[in-house]
Amino acid sequence: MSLAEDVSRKIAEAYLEPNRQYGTWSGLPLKEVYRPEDVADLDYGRDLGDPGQFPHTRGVYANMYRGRLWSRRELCGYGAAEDTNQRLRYLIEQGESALNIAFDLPTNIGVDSDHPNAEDDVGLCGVPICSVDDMAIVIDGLPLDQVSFNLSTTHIPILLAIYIAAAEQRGFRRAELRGTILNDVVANVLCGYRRSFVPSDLALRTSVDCIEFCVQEMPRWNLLSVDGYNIRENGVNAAHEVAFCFALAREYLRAAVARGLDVDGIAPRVTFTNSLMMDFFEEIAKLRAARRIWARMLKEEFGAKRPESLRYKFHGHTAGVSLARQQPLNNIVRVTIEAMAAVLSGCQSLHTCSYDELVGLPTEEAVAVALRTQQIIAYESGISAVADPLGGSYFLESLSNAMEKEITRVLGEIEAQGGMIAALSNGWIERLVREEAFRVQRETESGERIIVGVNAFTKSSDADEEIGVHRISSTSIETHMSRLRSVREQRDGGSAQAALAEVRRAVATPNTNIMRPMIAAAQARATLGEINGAIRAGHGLPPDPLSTSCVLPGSPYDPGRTSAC
Amino acid sequence: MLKRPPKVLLAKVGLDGHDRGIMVVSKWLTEAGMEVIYLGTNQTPDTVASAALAEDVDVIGLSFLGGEHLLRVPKMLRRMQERGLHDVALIVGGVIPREDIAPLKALGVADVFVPGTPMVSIIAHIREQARPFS
Repeated sequence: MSLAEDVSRKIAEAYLEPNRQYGTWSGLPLKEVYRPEDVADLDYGRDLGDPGQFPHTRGVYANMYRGRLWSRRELCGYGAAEDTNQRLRYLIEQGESALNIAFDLPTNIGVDSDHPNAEDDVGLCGVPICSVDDMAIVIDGLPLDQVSFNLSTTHIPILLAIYIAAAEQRGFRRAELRGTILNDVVANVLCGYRRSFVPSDLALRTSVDCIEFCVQEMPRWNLLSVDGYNIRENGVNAAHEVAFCFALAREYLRAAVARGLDVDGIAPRVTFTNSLMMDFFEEIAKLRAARRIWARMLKEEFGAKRPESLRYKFHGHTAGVSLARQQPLNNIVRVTIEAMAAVLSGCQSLHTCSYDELVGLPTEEAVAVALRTQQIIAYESGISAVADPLGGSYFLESLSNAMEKEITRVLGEIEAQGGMIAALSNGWIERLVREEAFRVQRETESGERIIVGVNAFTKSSDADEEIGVHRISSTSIETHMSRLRSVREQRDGGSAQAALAEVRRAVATPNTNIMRPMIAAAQARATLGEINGAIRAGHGLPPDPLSTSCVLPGSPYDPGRTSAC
Repeated sequence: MLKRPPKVLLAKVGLDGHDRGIMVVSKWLTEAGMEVIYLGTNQTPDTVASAALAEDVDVIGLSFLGGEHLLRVPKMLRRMQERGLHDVALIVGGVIPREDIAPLKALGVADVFVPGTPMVSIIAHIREQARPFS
């Protein structure tokens, strides 16, 4: 075929090309058009309510963004504490309105940076926090009583103890502190961490200890944020994401109530982290359905009485896994679509990914664009002027109903097995996660699922445009390691050991909250790894989470895994 | 010359537990008729080299997310040399900037697969690494 004929054929095909999607990405069927009869059973008072009215389908606050815009909250953390503090200041200068720290892998596993297995992982995916000294530098110059500060870790909340110690050193009172600790320790395994790092029973106990402590001493602190984002990144669909989150929330609430805590003291401080992926309306429907289900669950199943207890509040995080390595500037468009979905869904807080996600951590340029995306939506688009602007759409209300049905169905399947911990232990969750990941890949390989620039509209020469790459400096790592050495050498070793012994004793003693002993240990400059070791020892585990048994760790025979591929 | 089905050892070295990518590759290589051993996460160059030797593999495949590839790959290659795995090809995949690909290959990496690489391409490249029947 000649060049002219090829061009001619191409344009003719493109001109006549129809939409080929007949369902949402998770497989819910879509009609060509929706009409009043599709929502004939909808009762406004029962199923929707105004924003701020039970069951909150339309939003958790009456005036939504006219009361307060969602928090523009970019995840941040790398190198040494100094680098992270510097990046936080940069983000604040660029207009960020709330803070969110990511920690590196050794920290998220509960080991110090000088653990032999931690080499080459220090400071890469987040900031390493080995002691109160590191945390003090991260928070330097920040008004912790006036700004919201998220600690994004699904490990045992040792980092909250260290944060409190550092904040109090700077003169803040713990009751003034605002922010969130994820504290979703049972879900640690869904973030890729082995079960042996935190077994479920220890996870539940430490989570409830943290919940109890926050209820007693930290009225402005969100004590639990169930992490749907990492669940979704594994490959599961929108309904699975919410169902898994609710099944996890049930575990924590039931355990807290069993301990005698009042659900109305806890629920107002429970939040969620949700992914936003590319199927625009499915994501919005997912979140509207989530609000309705949560409001009813808290009221009917848990007997919550306060209006604040019934609100599903969430931090949105646009999906890293939806972004492409090829033609990376296209990711700006993807993130914009996902951020718009988050705002139209009524998020309370939002992280937007950077376009260079597939080559490394965000450069300053890239994270600025991510922030500008939120700002352009907030200030130029008019979307935030009206609460739940899409409410009443025949399509969206119908899809929200369908999503509610599907979420409820999956929740029922999990409940039938005895709950989320049971479903995690017996391999059901892992099988589902694998199957979904394979399904998505099959659809991508076959072209059934088009990813622009990846399997369609590719560029034959040079897979990607030149974009900068964010590098972690080895000098930073040196600075950090040197500080860790100083802490070990210069602290009062006796006090630190005594405080660690107290942590160990607290864990080993029933009905003893571990948070205060952990804070005391942090104040005595015990390291995160030492505190974690004391917790593990108190629970009857080897102090080192990375210690091996005779079985090759990670192999199909490792008791830390439920199943292989 | 006849080639036996390639024998591939896949692993994640270091503390990163993000294994969705490598699990998908493992599945696709298996469906393509290769013999695949997925060692799992939390491996070290030692455990990988030992397994590669014991299983007599053609290819070792490592997956990286956090930017640690330039630190870990030299150590893996050194261990492979020390254990006499001269015939074994090392391939890597994951979040690897384009400017690191040539340096990795210069170190001795046979192939680098970035996200978005079609599975058929990975399969074809690995088939080339399989050794002939002796």
